[in-house]
Amino acid sequence: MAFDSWVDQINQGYERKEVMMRKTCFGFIIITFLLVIGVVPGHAQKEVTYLSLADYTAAIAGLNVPADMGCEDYFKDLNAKGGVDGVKVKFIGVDTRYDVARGVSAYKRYRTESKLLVVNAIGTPIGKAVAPLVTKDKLITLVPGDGEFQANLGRVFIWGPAYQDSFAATIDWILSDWRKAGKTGSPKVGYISWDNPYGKEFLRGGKEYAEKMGVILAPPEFFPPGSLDHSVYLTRLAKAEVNYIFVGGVDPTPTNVIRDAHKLGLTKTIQFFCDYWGPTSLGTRLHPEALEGTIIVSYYLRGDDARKHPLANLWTKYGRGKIEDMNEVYTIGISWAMTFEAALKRALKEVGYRKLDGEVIYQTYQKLTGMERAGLQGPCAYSPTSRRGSLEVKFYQVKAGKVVSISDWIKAPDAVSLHKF
Amino acid sequence: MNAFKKIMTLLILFISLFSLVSCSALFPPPKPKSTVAVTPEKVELKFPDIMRVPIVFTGTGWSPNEMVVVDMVLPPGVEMKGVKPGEDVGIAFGQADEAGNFKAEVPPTAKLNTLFRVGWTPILAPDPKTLNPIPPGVYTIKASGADSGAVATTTLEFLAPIKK
Repeated sequence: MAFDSWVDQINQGYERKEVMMRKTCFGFIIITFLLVIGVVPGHAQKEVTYLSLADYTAAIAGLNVPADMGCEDYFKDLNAKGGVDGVKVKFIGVDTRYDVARGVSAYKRYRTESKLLVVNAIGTPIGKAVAPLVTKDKLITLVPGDGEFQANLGRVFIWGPAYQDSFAATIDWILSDWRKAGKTGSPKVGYISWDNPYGKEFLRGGKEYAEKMGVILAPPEFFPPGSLDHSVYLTRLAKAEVNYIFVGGVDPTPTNVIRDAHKLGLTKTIQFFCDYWGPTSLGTRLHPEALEGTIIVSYYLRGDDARKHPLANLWTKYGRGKIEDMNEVYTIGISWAMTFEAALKRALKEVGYRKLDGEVIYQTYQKLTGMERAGLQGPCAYSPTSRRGSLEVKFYQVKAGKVVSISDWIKAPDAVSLHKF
Repeated sequence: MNAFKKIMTLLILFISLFSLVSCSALFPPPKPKSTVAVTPEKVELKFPDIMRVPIVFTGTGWSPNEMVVVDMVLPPGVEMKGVKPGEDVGIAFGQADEAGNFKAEVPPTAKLNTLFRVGWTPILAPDPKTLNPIPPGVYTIKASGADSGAVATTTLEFLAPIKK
């Protein structure tokens, strides 16, 4: 009897062990299943990364901050709607303070971010410095407007038409204005900008275009960034008897140049032009009288064209303030984000999330030809043979302290091909 | 028998050669250690004189043609615009040559932004009223190879301006 009881106990022990083993196996299967379907924490959501090597506290922060706000807000909105086919966009903005060493260091820090696809380098020097690393990592870089990247096709894409193209479009505008006024002969044009690669880029092809069109260019004037007074340079241009002056620099620099020209009385006789980074609401509020009549060539919407655009409502939606305080460069950021969204959508359709990488995005950006961005700028011109973000420019003029449109979208001439890089 | 000896000798030679090749592949010669040095080793935090003092990093033993990024390690409590607590701050970068040597100089913007923590006016001019030099002391400098992942460190001492 005692023996039977002992055997029963052993059998019960085995049964308990078997039940425990079964339970363990079942638990293991459940956990594996949960991990696979991604219920338990630790399963990463589908996400891609967009890196902005920005300037939020230094020299070009005035324009960079609102532009990145536009980009970030658009991604927030996109993510709130579920992302692109369930893939969310992680926006990383790094304050490089317009400092190349910090830009390179920041890129090194973030290059291993999960599914990093695009690096927007706000500022040509940073873009050029990180380009070799980005190329090795098979990602793409976005940079402002250097024609050099159109001349030497690679993984660097520019935001709109090249700087020299916009200068060529301005030359066309000047010639038309000259003829409309019934003047004969050739107009004489002055050029003044920062003494740095950005300031000189406009003439690398722009100069050749002016010569081709029979426009006389006075010797260009370059001044060190940070100059407080521009009278010396402007006086030299006035002595050269120019009819038009093209002013470079990031706002408020062009505003300050024209302020000095106004003080010298030059705005009465000379028509002033500015480039993409000419007076925004930042400058027109400071010196409306001096800027009156200034013409701005732009690849993106300015003034009320930008503020009344339906996408500008993101500014108020994400608590940035009143719409009248929106700097129009906010819409440039939206445009960057829309381009990225379109590329991501196409890439996901072609290869799916798992195979998505920088190489795929590089190939996809080249297939965005003709993509529309709700009219914020001209249709996308990226292609296997083009790194231009768009081809069209619009002319605006400062009237009664406001920046108003004075033209439709105009295709800018190709001035890049006229220069040997 | 002679033929057998010849075959065996060849076989032994082949096996020995194969072993040698395999061993050299498995145990490649040790890569030279990456180094970094700075000249001068001590820099006076005096503005604007510092702008005329070249602070140059040199190093050896890096992968050919790789980019070497030079970061300064910020001690706890030293705040820096644009840098999150615990992050290092980039102060220079350079490209190694074919022999793995690199040279990088601290650019003026890094001296202003990082060593003097300056504020900027909207016209790309440093605002002298905002000069806020980092605390004097010995700072760790970290050089990293972008391709190799190698890291080398040194120190750079910043001295308080000497009163004359």
